Amino acid sequence: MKARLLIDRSVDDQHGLSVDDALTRSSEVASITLRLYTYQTCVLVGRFQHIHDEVNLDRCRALNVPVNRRPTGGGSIIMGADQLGIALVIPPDSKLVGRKSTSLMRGCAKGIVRTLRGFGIEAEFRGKNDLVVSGRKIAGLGLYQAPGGGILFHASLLLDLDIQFMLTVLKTAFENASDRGLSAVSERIATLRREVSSDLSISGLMKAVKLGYENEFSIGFRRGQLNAEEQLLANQLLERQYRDRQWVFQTSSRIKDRVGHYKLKTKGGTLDVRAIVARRTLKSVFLNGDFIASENAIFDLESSLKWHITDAEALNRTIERSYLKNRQFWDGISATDISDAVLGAIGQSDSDSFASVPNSCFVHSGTIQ
Amino acid sequence: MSDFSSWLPTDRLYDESSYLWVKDDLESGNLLVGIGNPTIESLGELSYLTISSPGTVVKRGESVGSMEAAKMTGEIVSPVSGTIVHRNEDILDDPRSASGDPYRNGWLFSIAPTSWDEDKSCLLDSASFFDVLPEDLRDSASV
Repeated sequence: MKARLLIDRSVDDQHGLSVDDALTRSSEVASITLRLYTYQTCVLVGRFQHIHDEVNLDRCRALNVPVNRRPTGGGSIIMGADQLGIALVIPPDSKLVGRKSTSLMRGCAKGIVRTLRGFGIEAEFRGKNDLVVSGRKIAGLGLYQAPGGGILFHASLLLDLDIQFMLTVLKTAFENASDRGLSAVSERIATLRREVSSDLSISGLMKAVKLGYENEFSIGFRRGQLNAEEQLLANQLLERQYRDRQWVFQTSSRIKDRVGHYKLKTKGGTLDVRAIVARRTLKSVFLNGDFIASENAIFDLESSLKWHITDAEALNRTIERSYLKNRQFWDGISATDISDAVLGAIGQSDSDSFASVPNSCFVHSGTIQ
Repeated sequence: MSDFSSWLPTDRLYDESSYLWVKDDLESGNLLVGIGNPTIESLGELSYLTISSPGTVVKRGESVGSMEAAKMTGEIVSPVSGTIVHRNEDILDDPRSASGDPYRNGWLFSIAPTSWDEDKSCLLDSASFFDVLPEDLRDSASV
């Protein structure tokens, strides 16, 4: 099987996105391409996010940080020298991974899991698009299918992360990047420099990821470059899409997120639940309050409910499953308590007015404790 | 066979590439284009959806909208050339409304075709479509 490796360093947001898109749309998506690259510092929002809700545009302008929109879904992210961009482009008829999006996502991310295992780190999938290490997120994942059927798998793998900068340019509960905010976010993410070695370089990580994918797929990636058609397509996409303010600032979906709060007194303390709901999709749920539970049990529950249908029966089943897995870590709180509080928050979101609800990939408003 | 025909009804045609179905809308004489079980099985539940406005002229294979599902985003690619006549406002307001009965509620848009005979020859009946589906999706039909 033909497999190509592309390496790019310090690309700007427009070039970074247009090349990925071109690779996926090209009529010659006949081979697998693995692109490992870093961006010049920028902010990228998810496909259907409302940019004004997510990004502090004034601060980005003041700091000369460009903002753009990915073709993939999920939350807003910062990309820069210490966040490895991984793009895996797969032909429509590839037998390498399944066709179902769940197996596609997991299949495409296995190379990263293998890479991390090589560093002695065990990572697992959680929620909609998270790769976590001991409950802490180390990579955000996304999938996009182009009109011709080509698949783009995107990942942002954290070698390191300047949390203070991230909290400055993204809208979160921590507008002023306070010590409390920095600490709370830091506890919920993992970086390779923290987990493995502070000396690990982006070049070293690129080599490791290439090897991880080669071992996982049993294929060899040969260094290559864009062909003429891909280059032309990338230039066209750059002009008509990724340089176009209408693409970047679009509010194409008529569905706006709503937020709902609900407090429930239990034997173990008060559960203070915040739910972000897009029609019948529970995008995120956050548990706060004065109850006692392990961070991991809370993260596991929150992750398992990301992008969940708001149907009560289905929610109860998922909550029960997560609860039973970590039963000993919930002190005086039952699965029914959690279900009641989550459903209460969803119910409140029906009556609340539309709210500006930021939803970042590596930090969200519910991180506050 | 009754299970199969409810998973993949025999009264319409299917596009191998986009997984969308195409059905005659007998009332208007136009065609209805929609999502079915293979779409939902492959992408997951839809959460966001956009569809081009009525009056948009589109060629078969061109994007007429976009969507975000549980794990994936993608384009809505028209299996038919023509002019969009109506959009399903209910599904735009609530993309999950298609999930229970996608062959009734999952229509995305109606289109006045311009080269139906030609496009029709590119579409598959349910049995042929089933045969070309990947194995992990075919398995879903027997559940």
